[in-house]
Amino acid sequence: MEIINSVESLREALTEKLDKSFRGEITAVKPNKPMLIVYTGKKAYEGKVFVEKAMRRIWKNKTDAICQIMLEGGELGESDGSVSDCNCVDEEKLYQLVENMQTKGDCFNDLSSKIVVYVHNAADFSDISEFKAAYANIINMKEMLGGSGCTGMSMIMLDESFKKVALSKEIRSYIRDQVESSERVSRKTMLLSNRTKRGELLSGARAWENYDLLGNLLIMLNCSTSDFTTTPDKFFTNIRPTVLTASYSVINRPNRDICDVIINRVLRWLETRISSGEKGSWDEICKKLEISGNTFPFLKNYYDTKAKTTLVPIDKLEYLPRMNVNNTEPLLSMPYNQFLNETMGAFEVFFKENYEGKFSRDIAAMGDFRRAISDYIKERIPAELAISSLSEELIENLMRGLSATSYPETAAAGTYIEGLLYNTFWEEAKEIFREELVARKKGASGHLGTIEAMISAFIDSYNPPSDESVILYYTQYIDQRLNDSMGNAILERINSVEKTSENILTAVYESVSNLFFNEAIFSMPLEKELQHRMGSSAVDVTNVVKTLTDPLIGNRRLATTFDPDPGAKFVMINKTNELIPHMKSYFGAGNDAVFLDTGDSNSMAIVALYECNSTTLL
Amino acid sequence: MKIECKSFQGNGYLMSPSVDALHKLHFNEMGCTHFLLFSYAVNRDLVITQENLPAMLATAENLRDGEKLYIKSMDASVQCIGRHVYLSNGSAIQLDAKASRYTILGAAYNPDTDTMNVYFPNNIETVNFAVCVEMKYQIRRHTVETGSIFGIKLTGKAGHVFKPKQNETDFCEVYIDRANDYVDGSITYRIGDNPCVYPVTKAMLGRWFLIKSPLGQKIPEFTACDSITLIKVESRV
Repeated sequence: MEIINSVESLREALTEKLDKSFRGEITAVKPNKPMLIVYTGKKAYEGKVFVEKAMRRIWKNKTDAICQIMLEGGELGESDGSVSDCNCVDEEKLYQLVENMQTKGDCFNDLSSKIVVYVHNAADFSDISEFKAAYANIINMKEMLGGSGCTGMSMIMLDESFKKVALSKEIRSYIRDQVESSERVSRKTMLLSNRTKRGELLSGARAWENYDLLGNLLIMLNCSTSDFTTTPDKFFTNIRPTVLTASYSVINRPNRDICDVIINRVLRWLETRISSGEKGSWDEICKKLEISGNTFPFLKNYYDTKAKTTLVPIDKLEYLPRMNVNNTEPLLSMPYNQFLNETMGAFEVFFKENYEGKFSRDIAAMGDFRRAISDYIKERIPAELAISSLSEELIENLMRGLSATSYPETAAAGTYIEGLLYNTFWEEAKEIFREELVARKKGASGHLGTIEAMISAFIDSYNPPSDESVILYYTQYIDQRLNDSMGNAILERINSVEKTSENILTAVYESVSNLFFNEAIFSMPLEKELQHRMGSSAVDVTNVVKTLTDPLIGNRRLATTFDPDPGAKFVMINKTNELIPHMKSYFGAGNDAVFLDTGDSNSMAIVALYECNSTTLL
Repeated sequence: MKIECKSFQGNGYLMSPSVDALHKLHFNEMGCTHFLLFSYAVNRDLVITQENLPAMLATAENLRDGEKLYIKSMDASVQCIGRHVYLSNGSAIQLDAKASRYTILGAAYNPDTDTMNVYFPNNIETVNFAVCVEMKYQIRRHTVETGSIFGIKLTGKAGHVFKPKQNETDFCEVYIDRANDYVDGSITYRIGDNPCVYPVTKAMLGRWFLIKSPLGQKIPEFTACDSITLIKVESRV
């Protein structure tokens, strides 16, 4: 199990767990041809992780066979990690990387040719000349890698934020010139802007959405015809050069939002439960510690089995001196007061030397006892009870109630001394018991502090879901479970371990994971979860389809004066999704929609392609 | 009065204390106006250092009066003896004839600053000493008479025929001489392989007492602290 050491890692782990449970395994899907992806700058390269994530959804570990490198200032680099880790790749190394792909027959369907994709991000260039150089580089690369046996495509991420809009305009203008030019650099170019047709600027978490879209486009560009119902190549194999843009609409199962709501409610429930735990009575505390009257079985048992074994055995007292030279009867059988008189003060000196303070002088024994009694208290007094009930007054009363047992001096010396030794131990152990009760209260309060700190950390990074239905539905849902049995289960888990934030978060993770496993709502694919959450009558399937398709035009990744030619659509969806017939019916007969089985019930998406011409790009 | 501690100097020191048979204390000294004599129980150590001495004597306001003062924090007594007393006793200090441990330090009082400068040797052990006393003890196997019938001791002819027999028991009888100012636990004993050490108290001195000591084992072994010379004598009974 992964290490859960922060609220953020808890959120990631739970979201991933939920995501994973809806990700089916699609076997035998692999890229069609070996593919080299060249990122022409650091900003472009930063998107690699999102591109890869999208490709991995379909190609799984075959994605690793695809070669991805960075080109910066004319230098090629290769990295498995961050941008700063990029190593230079010379020509020889590049050949080696490409050839490596061609040895992986199990990862590609067709090794006879290659695809080269250049990914440019306008933010990487300071002026148009730099961009032009990077854009033209694809010609050299294709020639290097086999000329006609190599097809290429340029993906340009336009940055149309106010800061970079000027350069992006120049790029658009240059690409428009290319459409009309007889000396084209790249036959196929995809323009994806961070400003949509309806003028929305993709920022924050959505800033990387175009890279997710890019990953999906690469799947379409390089998918095997045998994997899909139709040949997506048709969008890219036009003889005449093409400039395209795309639109993207996606409905995700709100797993992250669901997890946020759950974590928020669970942490707040824990805080409330622990800070305002029911006040335990004196009797309840005594019952939990198994203290009755002034008897404390734990302490007696510890004394008998551990502490006593380190003391001089009481039978050795028979070797003390006797005043009466005719008295050969066992010393320990005579009354204690007579025993004292008979031993002429030697017992007192012997006691002082061998028993008194013996326990408190033995550091190791004290440590063992402290651990044992601390564990015993933690086991018996839950944190919330410790916070609410272990007041100073109660602890003092508890100590007073546990006064040492006194024996009459007429009792047999053996019995009296046994009691005396236990009382001596008790007097020394009592202080540790008191300290550990105080520490329990303090520790439990610290535990509350730990939870409060976690809530604070969570709130700092918490963006309430935009969909209120998620908040309403899951808040009500999780509150009910917490008050049933889930809450106590979490508390039990927490109480059974040391109260570190890691342990508390792990306890929350395990309990929520258990919920994911056992509760129906967490095994419903997105369309069913949506219907369930909204109330089935409230969700018209047609509405869901429209929710997915209607934003396509507005979401187009290129704002233009004239709308580009409408192209085909790809529907990326789990083939078991019950909405597929409704979607087909909605699109109507003869439509260009291609249904791609993602095997993933976490999301459904439509990618629509649009062909641009010189007018569109004005 | 201030107490200041100083290491031995060429014109201020006290060294080589020794006690003669008359319990007189002699030593070599130079430049001392006073002598600080610390006495404490024979079964304990007293650690005096240049660092802790001023604090130890902080409560001894009338130190220079020459009275013996008990210092609670040290569990020891201290007596500040003037040079004139030392000289009038033939350059010696008369000690009590009882077992005790001592530490002696030379000092020079400066009336101008009301300061007592105490001279410390490099090794404090060189000014520690003990007054030893001899103590004699007897030990014998305990016996019981078995020559009786139904507990009645026979006399006359019958007594001659059934002469009582002395049978050894699992006990020993012990007698230790009385001693003044004896400190409980200064003498101890062990029984066979038993690792425990048993104390002898003052109440046990000057009388016979009984100790369990199983037959077949060695009789109890007595040992004493270094200020007592324990001498075993044959039982006189």
